[in-house]
Amino acid sequence: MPTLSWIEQEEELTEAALTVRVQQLAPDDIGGLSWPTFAPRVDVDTTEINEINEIDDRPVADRREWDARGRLIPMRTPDQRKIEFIPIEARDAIREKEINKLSLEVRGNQGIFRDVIGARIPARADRLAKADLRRIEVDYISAWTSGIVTQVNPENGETVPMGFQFASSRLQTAPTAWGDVGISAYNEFLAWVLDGVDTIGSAAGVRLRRARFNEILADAPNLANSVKMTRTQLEQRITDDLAIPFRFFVDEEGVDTFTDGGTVTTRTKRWPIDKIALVPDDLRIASTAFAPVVRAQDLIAEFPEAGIDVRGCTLYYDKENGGRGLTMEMQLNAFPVPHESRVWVIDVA
Amino acid sequence: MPNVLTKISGGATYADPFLGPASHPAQLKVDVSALTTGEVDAKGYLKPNVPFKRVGSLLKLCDGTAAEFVYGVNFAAIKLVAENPTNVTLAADTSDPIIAVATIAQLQRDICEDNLGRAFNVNELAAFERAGDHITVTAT
Repeated sequence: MPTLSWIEQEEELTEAALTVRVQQLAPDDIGGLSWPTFAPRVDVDTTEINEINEIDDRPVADRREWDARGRLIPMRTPDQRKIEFIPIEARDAIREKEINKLSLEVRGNQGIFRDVIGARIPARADRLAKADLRRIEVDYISAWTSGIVTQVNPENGETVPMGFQFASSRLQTAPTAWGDVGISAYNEFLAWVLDGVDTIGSAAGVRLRRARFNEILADAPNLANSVKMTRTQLEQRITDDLAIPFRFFVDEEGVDTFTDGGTVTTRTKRWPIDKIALVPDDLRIASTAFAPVVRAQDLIAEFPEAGIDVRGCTLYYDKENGGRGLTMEMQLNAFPVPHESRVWVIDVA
Repeated sequence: MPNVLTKISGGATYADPFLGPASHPAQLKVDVSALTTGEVDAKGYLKPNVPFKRVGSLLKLCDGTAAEFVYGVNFAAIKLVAENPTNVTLAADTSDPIIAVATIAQLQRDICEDNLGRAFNVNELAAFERAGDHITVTAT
């Protein structure tokens, strides 16, 4: 009966080799993920991080009389956030039955068996790493649009939210839905954008779902002969109105989220249907803190020439049951840290 | 353990209240049991520029005793007691730590009162004016 004890002797299937492989995957999954653009990686040394916010402090000095002292400019301290975060991990398992079935397919040919099962494992490792990266995607968008990151228990789907305690003015709710009759979504949108630009500085555009964009477009002024503007024309019109380059980041991408501890997933749009967020001019709304994974440090100590990123996705095996089972675990210590001073979001439902 | 966030709100810090040089320091024990949360903050620090009279070798708050005058004010916030003190816990404190006070100085009153979070009371204001006091306070 073949077992999986040989896997770690195969050069391309060692923990170190697969770790190096998955760390070379594109962090944005070849354009499928947006976190490297909007919440780029920042290396940190620990899973307990301090974030110090900027303060908007503009004191004015006063004139003084001759031979007297001037105005004391007092110190102000910024808000600080201390965050402790827990790891992201995806796992897969190969069990005896799968080994047995495959063994029968290859009629006991050990060489073919090893080739076939060996070819599957790297692909599985890639899949686990991409799942880890998608968690960053979901979390930073949630942090941005609601100020909350939600931990989902992988065993039973229970949720535990953690809030960033943003000021309420950063995450607004429209008093009347922009899609309601009698409301000009375009006018409401422009007013909100202008307030946002005043608050966070220059903007590059907004990120939203297509349904919300369509509402804004529908209420936008028409061209001559009652012709509706195109998206490009609307972007140009707003660019002209605001005197800053402006674009709509329409996001309809989806991910498959688990709703309980089982295996069933639901294809869910990553961007909330009713949220519109102002995008800063450099597109950066957050940082993603990457902390070292202890197991990666062990691999680096064992294979110093492998070029392993101590803060990247790290694979480790857990052989069980006399080699009859193999669990692959892919760990990533990463967490989004949104910059409150750049958050300007409205719920328009 | 879940993800955890602890927010520490920012804000104003204690400001330097001295308009001119603050000098001639004296190191004396302070009677903590006579202090209140008007002089000690939530972190257990004696707030800056609390006016003290001297009774023997002990610094005490001005309490309207005849002829009392301000002997000195502490230069900056000083850790005295544990966090979240109350008037009750302060009254029961017998530690009498040594602090340094400026005995000659000129204070900017508005900064002092912002630091204390209260106005100087009538006893303190009178004590600043009496003979023996070498600390002046600007008009507000």
